[in-house]
Amino acid sequence: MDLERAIARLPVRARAVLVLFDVEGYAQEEIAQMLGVAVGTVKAQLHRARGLLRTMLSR
Amino acid sequence: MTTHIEGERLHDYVDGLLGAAERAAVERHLAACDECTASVRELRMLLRRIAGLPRGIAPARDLLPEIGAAIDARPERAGASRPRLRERTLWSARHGLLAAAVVLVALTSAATALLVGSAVDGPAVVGVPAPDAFAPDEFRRIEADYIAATDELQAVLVSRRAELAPETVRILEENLRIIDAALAEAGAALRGDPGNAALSEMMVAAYEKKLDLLRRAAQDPTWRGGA
Repeated sequence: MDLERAIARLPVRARAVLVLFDVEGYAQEEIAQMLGVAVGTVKAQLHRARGLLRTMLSR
Repeated sequence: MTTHIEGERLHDYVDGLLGAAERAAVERHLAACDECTASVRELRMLLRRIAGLPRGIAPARDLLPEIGAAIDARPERAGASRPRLRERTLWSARHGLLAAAVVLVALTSAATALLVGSAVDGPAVVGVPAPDAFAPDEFRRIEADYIAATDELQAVLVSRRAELAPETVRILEENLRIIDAALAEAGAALRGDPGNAALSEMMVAAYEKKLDLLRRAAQDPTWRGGA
């Protein structure tokens, strides 16, 4: 599967965090503020998104 | 041996978010643990691929209403493509990543010649603000990752050479020869001028191109070039 398609299949919040941090370059603290969540939650979503991407890309 | 580098520690290390002491502890562990070194390499490769995506892909502001509202509330960032590009370029350089698309147009001797001794905002860089140079250590780490990844893929292709269409082999070999020549030339120039950001970026772009080429051939034995 190609990367863009894999990103499109991520759950929406995990995908939003991944795009904001890994693609658009916002800091985790900024993302936490935007979404009204704790930084720990942003990290958890980001790690989940990257893990899911790795799984999808290795298929 | 200290604990393996997993979960949040692994991601924070690769994202450059650890403090100096913790980072040093992770690097001591990595020096002795092949398994964790492989995890770090794998994560960096994924992030490099993500960083190489065209800008504007799946903009986060369209995903959730609160993101659009939050971005609009930041006048210095909202809707301004130029600052966003700079931000992203700087961010990429800081993380040892590179969006290949924003860098150099050509991987040729002429481009190398142009870059040697020229400023990073010289004519070979198209409308891109000069990012910070890679630290030499960071660049060596990045280069080692690329070499390991391209070696692995080349080994796969060698073992499956019989399955590849002759035309695929020919195109692949021709392109690899051009990229390897560009890498050798830029590498030699970089040894003479280790702080030259444009040269190090050119090398990363060339490695990214090489990886992409090998990946495509590995995925499709009848690949003939093109997208």
